[in-house]
Amino acid sequence: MKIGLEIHAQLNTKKLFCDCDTDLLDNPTKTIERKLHVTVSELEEVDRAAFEESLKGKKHVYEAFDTSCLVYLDEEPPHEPNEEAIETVLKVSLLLNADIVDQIHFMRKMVIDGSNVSGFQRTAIVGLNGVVETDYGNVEIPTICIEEDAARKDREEKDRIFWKIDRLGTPLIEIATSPSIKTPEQGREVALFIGNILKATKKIKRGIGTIRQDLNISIDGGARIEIKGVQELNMIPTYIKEEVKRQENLLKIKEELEKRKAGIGEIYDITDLFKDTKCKIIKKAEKVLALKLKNFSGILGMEIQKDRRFGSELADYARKYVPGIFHSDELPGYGISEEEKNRVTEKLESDSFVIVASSKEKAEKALKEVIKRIKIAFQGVPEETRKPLENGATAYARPLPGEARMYPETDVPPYNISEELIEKIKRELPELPRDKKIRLMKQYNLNEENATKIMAYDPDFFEEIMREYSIKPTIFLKAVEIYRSLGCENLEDLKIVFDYISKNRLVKEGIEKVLEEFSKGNMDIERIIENHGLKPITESDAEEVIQRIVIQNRDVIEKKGERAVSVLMGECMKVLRGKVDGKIVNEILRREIEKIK
Amino acid sequence: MKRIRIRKGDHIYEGIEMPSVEEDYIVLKLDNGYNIGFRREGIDIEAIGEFEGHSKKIEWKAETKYRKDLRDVAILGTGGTIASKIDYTTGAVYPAFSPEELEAMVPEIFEIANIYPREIFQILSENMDVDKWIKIGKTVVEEINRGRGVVIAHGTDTMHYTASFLSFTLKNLNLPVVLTGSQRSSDRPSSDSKMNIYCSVKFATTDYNRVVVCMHGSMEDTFCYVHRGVKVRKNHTSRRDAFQSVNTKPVARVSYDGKIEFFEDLPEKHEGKTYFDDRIEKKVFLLKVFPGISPEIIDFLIDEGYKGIVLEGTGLGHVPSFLYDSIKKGIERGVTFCMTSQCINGRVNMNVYQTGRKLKALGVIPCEDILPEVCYTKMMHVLGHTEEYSEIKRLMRMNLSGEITKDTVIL
Repeated sequence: MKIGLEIHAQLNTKKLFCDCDTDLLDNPTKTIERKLHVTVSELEEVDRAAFEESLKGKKHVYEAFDTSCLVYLDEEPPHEPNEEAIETVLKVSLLLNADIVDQIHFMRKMVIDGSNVSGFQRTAIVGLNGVVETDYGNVEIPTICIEEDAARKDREEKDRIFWKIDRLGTPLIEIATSPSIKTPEQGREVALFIGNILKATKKIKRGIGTIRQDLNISIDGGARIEIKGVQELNMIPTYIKEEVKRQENLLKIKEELEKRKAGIGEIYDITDLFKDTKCKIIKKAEKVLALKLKNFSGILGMEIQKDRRFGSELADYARKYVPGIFHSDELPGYGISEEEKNRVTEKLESDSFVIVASSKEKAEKALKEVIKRIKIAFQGVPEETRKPLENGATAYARPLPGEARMYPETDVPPYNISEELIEKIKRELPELPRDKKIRLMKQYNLNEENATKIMAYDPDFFEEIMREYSIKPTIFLKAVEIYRSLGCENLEDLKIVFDYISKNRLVKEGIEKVLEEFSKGNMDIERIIENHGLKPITESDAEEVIQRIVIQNRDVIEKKGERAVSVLMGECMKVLRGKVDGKIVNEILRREIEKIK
Repeated sequence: MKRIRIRKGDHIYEGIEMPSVEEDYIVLKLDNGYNIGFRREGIDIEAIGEFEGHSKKIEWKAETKYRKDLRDVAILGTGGTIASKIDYTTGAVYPAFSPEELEAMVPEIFEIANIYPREIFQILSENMDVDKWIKIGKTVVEEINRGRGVVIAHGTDTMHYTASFLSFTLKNLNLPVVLTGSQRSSDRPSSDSKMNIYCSVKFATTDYNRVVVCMHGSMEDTFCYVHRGVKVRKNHTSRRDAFQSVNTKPVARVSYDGKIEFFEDLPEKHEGKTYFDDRIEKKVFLLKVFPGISPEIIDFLIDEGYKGIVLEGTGLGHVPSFLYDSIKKGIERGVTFCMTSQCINGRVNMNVYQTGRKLKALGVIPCEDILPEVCYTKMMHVLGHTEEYSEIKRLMRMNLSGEITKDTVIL
C-alpha cells in the first residue's frame, strides 16, 4: 500500500498576482461569460483530464465584485507575486527542513474545468527535499509549492457554470509528501503535524475549506487514485481504508470476470418494452437503451465500498451525460417491475445489463462511457481523481491529470531568493509545534493528552487566555470542546465566559448552559446567568447555609466528631453544588464544626 | 535541448536545461514539469543526454473541400499573438499558420467560408513600418482581386495604424478587409483569438467593402464589434475590448453564433479592379504637444526634411504660443501642419480661442474629428499626391475614407 498526502492551505494575504483582498464576498456586481478552448492540435499534448472537461463545452459565467480587478478576469497580465505569500511559503519550507530553490519559476498548469478564468493555474516550486518526523517514522516532503486557488463554483445550469471569482488567486501553499506513508493512522498524523506547522506561521486562513487534503492511494496491482479535497482530518484514515477496500474489490471483480468469461454485448433500443411503465424516469425519457452484458450478474450489485456498488462506478462515468443508470442487479426497483425486467432479459437473452433512459444521443453517449468503464474493469483499477463523500466512500470525478499540462508562465519573471532573505526568515521562524507542545506541558503543567488537544485547537489563543484570565487549562479545554461540539468555530466568543469565571461572576458548572445559549445566537451572558441561576453565591451566603446545616445536624457531629465532615459535606454540596467551590465549602464546614465542638 | 544532472549539496536533480534569462542562473525543467532555477555558483552540472522535445508536428488532415455555397476568405498572417502556438517545454509562442494548424485552432471557420491562409511575414506589430504596410496592402489587393474577402491577423499594438493606412491606400475595394488580433495569447484556453478570428471571417463574407477592425466588443466571449479602420483606436493596454470606435458607433456587431447586426447601410460597389495607391510621403511626423515642449523639436524636424507634422494639440487644438515662430518658419518652408486633439474624443475647433485663431492664420490645418494616428497616415497619403498647400488643405479637410464625421453624435 502506498499513501501520499497533498496538503493545500490558503494564505491569509492579498491575492498572489494582484493587490485584491482574498475575503469571500456575497454580492457580485458584474458577470462575465466566457468559453474555454482546447485546440485539437494540442490534443496529444493537452492532458486527458483537461480535454475531457473541455468536451462538455459549457460556458462559464464569472461573477465579479466591486473590488475585483482585471488580473483575475484575465484582462490584465499578472502583477509581481505577493511577497508576503512567498515569504510564508519560505517559512513553512524551512520549518519542514526543506531546501529552498535559488530561483522560483511560475508555471501554468492547464485547468480547463472553468475554475480558473485563464484556463490555467499558476504554480511554482519553492522548497524541495523536506522531511517530517512522525512516531511512525520519517515522511519525505519532496516539494513545497506556492499556487493559486480556484474560483468558487456557485451553481450550474443547463449549459452554464457560474463561478465566484473572490477566491480565485488566493495564494495556496501545497505540501506534497512522498508515497511513504504506511498506515491510515499515520496519514492522519502527518496531516495533523503539517497542519500545526502551517498554523504556527499565523498566515494561514481559518475556517471551513481553508485547509484541504488530497490523498494519493494505491495498492499492489491497483492504481494511483487521488482523493481530492478532504477537509476533515479525522476522516483521513477512513478514506484510506475505504479506498484500499475499493481497489481490492475491483481486483476481485477483475479475477471474477476472467473466471466467468464475462463480456460486453451490443446496445439495444428497448423503448417499446416500457410502454406502461411506472418508472418516472423512463416515462419521461425519449429513448430507453440497454447495454447487454454477459455473466455480470451479481457483480454489478457487488458492494465495493461503503454503500457503493460496482454499478455506482458505472453510473459515475455515465453521469457526464445522464443523471443515472439502472442495472440488472438492482431490478426490480425504481418503479421498474419484475415483469419489465424479465422482458428485457428475454429480449437481450442475458440476465445482466445496464439501462439508460434519456434522449437518443445522450443515452448512447452515456452507455459508451459505461462500456469504457467496464472495459477497464477487465484490466483492474483505473487511475482517477475521486471526490470524497461524507460517509468515507468516494465517487469518480475525472481521469488523473497527466504531466503535459504544465508550461512556463512567461508573464511573470523568475523570482530570485537571496541568501539574505533566507537568513532573515530563519530569524523570524515561529516556535515549532513540537517544541511548543513540550513548553506548554511544562509551563502550564499539562498532561500529554491535553497539550495535544490545545495544539490542535489554537495554542496561541490558549496562551492569550492564560495570560489574561485566571482560569485553569482544564476549564479552557472544557469550554473549547463544548463550544466546538455545538458546531461553533469562533473561539473569540469564549473570552467573555473566561472573564466571568475568573471574576467569579459565573459558576464553572454554568459554562455548558451559557455556551448552549451562545450557540443559539443568544449572546447576552448577563441574561443567561440571571435566567438559569448561574451566579456564584458569596462566601457569607454560603456560610449561612452551612451554619444552618451544621446546627440541624448537631447530633451527628456530637456522635462522629471530626468524621462528621465527610457526612455533612454531602449535605452542603446538595445545596451549594455549582454555586460555590467545593474547597471553600469544605473549609467553612470545618470551621463551623470546630465552633460547635 | 540538453538533459542535465545538477548536484547541489547532498541532492541530485535531473531534467532538461532551459534557456535562462539571467546568466548567473541555470534553469532546470524537472521531470514533474516544474522549472526551478539554480545559482551557478557552488553546483556541479553534468550533461547526460539530449532531449528531443515534444514539439511534434501534428498532421491534421484538413478536409478543406471547396464548397460552392460559401464565400472565399484569405487569412493573411503578419505576426502577433493571434495565430500562434505554444511550445509546452519552453513556453515560447511560435507562429502557426498552416491551413492544418488554423483548422486545428478554429475549425468553425471552415464551416462559414473557404479559407486561404497566407503568411506575409512574422513580426510584432510594434515593429511595423511603412514598407511593411505597403507589402500588406499589395498582398490584400492580390487576394481581393481573386474574389476573396480578407482577414489580416495582426499584432494589436499598432493594428489601428495599419487599418487607417490601408483605408486610404486601397482603392476600389470591393470586398471587406478585416483586421483582427488577440489581446490574450492563443496558447491560453481563455484566449480571445478564437472568437476574434471566427467573427472576422464571418464579417469578411459580407459585402461591406471597407477596411475594418473586428475585435471583442466586451470582456465576454459573446460578440465582436466591427469598427471603421479610420475611426478605431486601441484604448486599453490589456482588456480584450481594447479597440473602440471613437466619435462614432461601430459598423456592426457579430455574435459568436454568427449573427451579424449592421448599424449602418452597406457601402456602394466600385467599378473596376481593386488597386493599391502607392503614392506615399513617408516624411510625416506625429508630435504630441505638452506643457514645456521646446520649439527646437519643430526646428529639428523642419531641418530633417519632414514634409508634414501632425500636431496632437491640447483641448480644441492648441499649442503654446512660443511654438508660433517655429511653425511659421516651417510653413514658409513648405511643411504642412495639421491639428488634431490629444483629447481623442471630440472635434478640433480653432475658432473659439485666440490661440486657435492665430494658428489657423499661420496656416495650420484643423482636422475636425480625425484621430491623430489616422491623421498621420492620411497625411502620408495626401502628401504623396500633392505639394500644393491649398490642395493639401482641401484634401485633409475632405472626408476621403470615413475619417471625418460631419457631426459628433451623442453616443
